[in-house]
Amino acid sequence: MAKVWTVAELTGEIGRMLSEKSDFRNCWVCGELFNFKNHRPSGHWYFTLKDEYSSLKAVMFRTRSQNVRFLPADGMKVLVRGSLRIYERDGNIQLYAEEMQPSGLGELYLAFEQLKQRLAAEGLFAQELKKAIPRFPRRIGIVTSQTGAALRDIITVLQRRYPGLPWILAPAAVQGESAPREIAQAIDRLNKYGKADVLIVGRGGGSLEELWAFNTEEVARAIALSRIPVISAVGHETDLTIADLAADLRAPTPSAAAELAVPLLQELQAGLAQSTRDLVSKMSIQLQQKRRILAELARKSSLQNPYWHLAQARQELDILETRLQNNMTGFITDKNGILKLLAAKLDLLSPLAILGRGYSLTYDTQGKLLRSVQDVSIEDKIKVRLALGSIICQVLAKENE
Amino acid sequence: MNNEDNSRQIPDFEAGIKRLEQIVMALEEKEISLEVSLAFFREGMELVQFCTSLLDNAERQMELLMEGPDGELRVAPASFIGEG
Repeated sequence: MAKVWTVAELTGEIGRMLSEKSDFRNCWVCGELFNFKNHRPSGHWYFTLKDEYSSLKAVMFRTRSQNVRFLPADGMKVLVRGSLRIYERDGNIQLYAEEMQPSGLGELYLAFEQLKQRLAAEGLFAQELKKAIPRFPRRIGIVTSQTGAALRDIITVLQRRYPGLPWILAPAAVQGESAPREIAQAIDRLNKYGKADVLIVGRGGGSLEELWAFNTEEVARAIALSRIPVISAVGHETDLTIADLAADLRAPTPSAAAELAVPLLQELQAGLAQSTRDLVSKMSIQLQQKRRILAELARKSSLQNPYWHLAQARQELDILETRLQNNMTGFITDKNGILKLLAAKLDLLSPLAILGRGYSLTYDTQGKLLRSVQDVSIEDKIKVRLALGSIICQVLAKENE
Repeated sequence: MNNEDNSRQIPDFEAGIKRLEQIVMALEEKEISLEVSLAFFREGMELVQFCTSLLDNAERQMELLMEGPDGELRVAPASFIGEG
């Protein structure tokens, strides 16, 4: 017997199955807009997508709808990305939209997004692969149409910024079926040739279809593989092309690319003139410093006047000589006086002179001079020194004075 | 002195300018001998001449790079329509 579902059970089961199918969680749908309503004040969009056979309800919440760059209207063909879920109250399957593009453009856009993601995943746009744009290129390589406005714009800027700077054009069709291959080959050719220091690859502005060559894998790879740094120069206003992502530097227009590629000759010349002035002034400062050191040395030393030192020495010698003479005279005079005085003193003090006058000196047995009766005892032997000879005596008695 | 060799080896404008900046900086140092400073000065002046000649001698070459049917590269002078 077949199972009997409640409505809620069945819609719940449908919802579960929808959410399990990964294709439904993130799918692209193309169709015509119908019953489009911009709900106020929520800002959510409610609409139906339909084609000649079927229709599908859809909602786009404000957080998503505010990123859509055009204003949708009934009858417009669009491409919508979103997830399929069931709105259980009504049992309706609804597309919860996250992104919307005008169709026509939409299909190109889808291909663009997919290619971009694939090449990004491959690492083709990695920052590490970006080459530095040389500051002073010797020759500019250009890849664009020989007859396009882009070439004229680039050359005009080159002439203004750096008259005389050589350039070489590798011509390529920039729209039409052969454009991607021609652009890729032209980049390759310039790499083989090798004499350009930077490449400008681009074309003037156009519709997304006209710029299509710059959104192809072939061109993106040729740019990424180029050994010479590439500046992309695709004239467009908003979205980046894949060529822009693969290039080492992105310029919004061909003229801007030329500005970025080439320095101003006047600035270079001014810089060189400044360097020359620096060089001369720094060198003259060096010389001044050396000169000052030399002058200082010369002033300090006798180099200034070779005779000066000699004269000074001579003068000093004179002074010394005078002082020596004066001192000697003084010394001699003084010495005479001192000598006489000393001789007189010496004479007075001489014990021999005293003894001569009849005095005598008395010593104990140790040879110590005796000055008092306390210094001796009865029967001590003492020695009496006379002017001529000595007498050994013995103390018989002591008398205090 | 190896300064002289350096200036001979300078291959392009960028390297020339870089070396010139180094020399100007070196000349700002007080403690360099007269001989070295003179050598720097001479090298610097040679670099100025070299770089100036690079700027002056750029001859306007406008060329087209084509590839022949045999795959050979062919360079032809460009007669540019948008000129002037």
